[in-house]
Amino acid sequence: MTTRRGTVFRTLITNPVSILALIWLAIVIIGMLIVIPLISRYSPTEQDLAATLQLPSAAHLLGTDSLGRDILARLAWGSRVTITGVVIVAVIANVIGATMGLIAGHFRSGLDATFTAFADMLQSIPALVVLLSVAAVTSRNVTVVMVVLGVLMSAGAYRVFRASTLNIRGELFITAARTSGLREGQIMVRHELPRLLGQLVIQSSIIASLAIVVQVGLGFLGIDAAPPNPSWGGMIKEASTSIYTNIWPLIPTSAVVVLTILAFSTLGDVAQRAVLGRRRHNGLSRAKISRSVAKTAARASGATVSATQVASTAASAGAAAGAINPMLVISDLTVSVPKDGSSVKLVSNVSLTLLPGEVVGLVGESGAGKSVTARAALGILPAGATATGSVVLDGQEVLGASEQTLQKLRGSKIAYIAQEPMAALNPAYRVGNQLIEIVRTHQKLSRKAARQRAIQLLETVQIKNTEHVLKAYPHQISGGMAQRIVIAIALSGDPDVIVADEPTTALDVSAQMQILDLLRTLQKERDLAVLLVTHDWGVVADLCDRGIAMYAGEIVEEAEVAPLFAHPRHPYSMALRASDPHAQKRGGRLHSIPGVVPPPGTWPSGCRFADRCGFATDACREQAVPLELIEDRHAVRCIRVDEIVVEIEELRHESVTGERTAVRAEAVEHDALERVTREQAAADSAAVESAAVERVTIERVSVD
Amino acid sequence: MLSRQIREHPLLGGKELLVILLRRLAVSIPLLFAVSFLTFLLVSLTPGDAAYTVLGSSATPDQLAALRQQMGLDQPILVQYLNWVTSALQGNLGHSLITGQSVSEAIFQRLGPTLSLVGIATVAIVVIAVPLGLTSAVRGGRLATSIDTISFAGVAVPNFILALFAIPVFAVWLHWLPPSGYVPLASSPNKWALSLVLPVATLAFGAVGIIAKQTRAAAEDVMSSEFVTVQRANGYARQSIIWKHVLKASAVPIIAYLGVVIVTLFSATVLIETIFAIPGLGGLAVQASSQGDLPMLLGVTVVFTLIIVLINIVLDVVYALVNPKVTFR
Repeated sequence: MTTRRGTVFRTLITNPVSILALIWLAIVIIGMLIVIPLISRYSPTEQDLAATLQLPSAAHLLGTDSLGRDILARLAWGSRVTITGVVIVAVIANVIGATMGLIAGHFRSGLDATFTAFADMLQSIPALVVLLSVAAVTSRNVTVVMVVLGVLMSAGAYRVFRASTLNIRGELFITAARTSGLREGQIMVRHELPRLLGQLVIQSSIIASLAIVVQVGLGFLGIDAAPPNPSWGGMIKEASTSIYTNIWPLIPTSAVVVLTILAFSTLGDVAQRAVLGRRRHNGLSRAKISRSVAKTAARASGATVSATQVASTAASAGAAAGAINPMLVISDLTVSVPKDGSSVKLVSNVSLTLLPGEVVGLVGESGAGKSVTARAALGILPAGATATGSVVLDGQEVLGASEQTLQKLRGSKIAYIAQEPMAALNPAYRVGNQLIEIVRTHQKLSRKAARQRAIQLLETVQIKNTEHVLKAYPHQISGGMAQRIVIAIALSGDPDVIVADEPTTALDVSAQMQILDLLRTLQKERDLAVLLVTHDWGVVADLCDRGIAMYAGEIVEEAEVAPLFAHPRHPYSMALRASDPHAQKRGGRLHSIPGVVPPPGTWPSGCRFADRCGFATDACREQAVPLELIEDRHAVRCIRVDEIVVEIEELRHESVTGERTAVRAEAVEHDALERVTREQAAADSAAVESAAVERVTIERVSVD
Repeated sequence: MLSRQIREHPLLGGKELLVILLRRLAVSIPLLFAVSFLTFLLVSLTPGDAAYTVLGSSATPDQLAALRQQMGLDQPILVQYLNWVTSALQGNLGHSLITGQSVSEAIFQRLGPTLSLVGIATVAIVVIAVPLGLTSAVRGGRLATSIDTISFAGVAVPNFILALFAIPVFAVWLHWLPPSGYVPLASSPNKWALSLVLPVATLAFGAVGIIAKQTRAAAEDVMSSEFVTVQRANGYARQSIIWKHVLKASAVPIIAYLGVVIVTLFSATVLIETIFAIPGLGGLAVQASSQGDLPMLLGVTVVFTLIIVLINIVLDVVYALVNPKVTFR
């Protein structure tokens, strides 16, 4: 929850709702506090017993109260007490809260615990009762009462500022500042404090809105202005005495109080939204799915050979061999999410086929759209996303199917293994509870029988200490163990297809090997079809029959694993291959692809990889590149696919002489890849210093 | 954001219930002393003292001095405080300056109405707000918008103003409910319930929106986590995911917020009891404040604080029950 000042202030003066709030506050502060007392012909205490409890008229714009006093004049004069009080509270609460929060968040450790315990204490104090005591002992000194309220309210502000500081402090530029020799105090004042200014706006508004409630409440109890002097709370008290007979005086008075509170809390709300950004994705809300004929989408994409055809070639080849139907057919899948009024594609025109018992790997960097594609196979789309194309699972359309239908398919036809095993189990329930529940969802079993089945499943995934594991909470087991349990959950409905989204990425090396072994064993034993999402080339070689490389939301190369490994044809596949740490020559340079995957919505209209490709020419950037079959069951999305082979050969040939031939050839090839994008790499390292850019994950393929 | 705050919270991040409770006591006991001592200190700094309050402005200096000596007001503040603490620990909170009634007795008499008011309001808030928040987290759309509106209105319309509008509407025009007053449960359960409807409704109104909104935020937080995707993808029943898994996993921040809300409810009783003429602790505090009845005020403040401390302890236990990372040893 860090803030950029500019955003907050700009939002406040451009958002129509907060403009209304600001206008109202201007009316209160300029109109009521300053102008009306100067120009009004009524004094706030001037009684007119001939004109009591009047409705609005030309003489009395807001009517009169039970003593015939002008309500507008009293509201205007009365605003002084409330506004003064609110300012005192907001200043004191913010100064104390921000100072303590900054110190606690920055230094953490003992100070943090002490301050937070102190804030807990303050928040356990019944504020209004304490204020009544203060009022009683200070003979109703409003200023002192408001100061005490400010101190009490500083606890809430402290929590927010502390949390924000904690966030900022973790950012890279703070570390950079420290490394460059700035003292802690300088870091706090120069770097952390300015980032808290947005938060200061939010907190001031929220505190002001809460302080008015208390101030007017105290006024209602007679603790602010001494009668007959006006105050908002006092006026509400006076109005309350006549609610049975004439409710009018209560209405304008309450309206002014409510509108002022509303204005402050609106400002706080709008500012907070500006800081927090858009709402989080919500996985359970139903995604809108529109299905359309695959042809329409294909025509729109302008592809001459669609991936569907490639896939169906592969499928028909398989079908010819053994006359089998594909388990899963994704055709021309395009998934878009709404963003800032328009729709942004996450994946475009993806087609792939999975045969029974076949293992297909989806490879690519983060942001390539692998996970979106894989999850679409389960009918799970990002929140608010729309999808076109079709996903057919064992003859049944998944896109647009009812939640009920999907619930039946999921688990029993197709199941899912996630990337973060520790996050994949509900932390609030024991493993046994979660496993037994899913067993009983798939099969009508007694509790006892379901428990037996759960133990069986745990044995299937090679867990030995089953009783112990069933009783454990997810936080009590290791990542590898958690992933086995997730696999057990996935197997509980005896599915035919498993979607595994980076199943080993989050695990340590030994657990990775074990989980891969387990997956391989289970796949063979149960003849599972597996769609495996990974960025690890080694995993593809290890487990897969076919590999599909994705880049910026589309498939760039699809082939059987052997040719894809030995002779990747798309420059991106080559680069991925070159940056695979397993494939490095000892002592050689570990290659990485410079630059980042362009995020959705910024894809170039020509070849999407061109900007990072060492072989790119102007022609590459001119128009969308189709996915084309270059040989049997090998498709590539590159217009220079043949020329590049020749170019690389020439580069190799030129440097055939000399001792370091191989190394030179490799270096040249790499240089070609890097040629265009050296500047980008420079920009990359500069990004480390800029926290803003840092937020975009720069994930190199060769991270592990 | 909130769940993160709570995870990082030094008081809530504990591992054992005992540790959590000890930490709570470590904060609570000093709190009780601090609140009582500060109130005491304030009193001693006041120009007009208790003796002055009792005797009024017509008293002669000799009379004042005599009474001060009798009340122990001539002793150092610390001695006075220790005397007060000693007798307070024995259940004796002193006597009212105005009526001479025992403070503990007066408080005890007034405890029932306040606890009924806050207790029922809390139950109403939980029963209405939590399902509302959870449903809106799932459905979004219009329900979420209306919760935003209710929550916004709850913040903007102070409950005492709401009460002032509710009385003419429901009591005077519609004649559905009594406008004010309190009937003890023992004398007529039916009338007791009717007399509490408006006070409870106006007290709970704002908090319902706030807790619903917090529930929604917590549930949305949980729903974006991986386990919900894994459960959906592997065929867990939708109703079970929402009402079992998401609910329990989002309970911790909701309980933390409920603690804060209950404290504000106790504060709000001060105004609500005054408006509805309910003979509770809040009303007693207002009366004592306006009369300058300092021993009574001190007693009420300490008892209020004590009640809040006890509620926090109960919430700690509930928190431990829903959070598996807390163990019972």
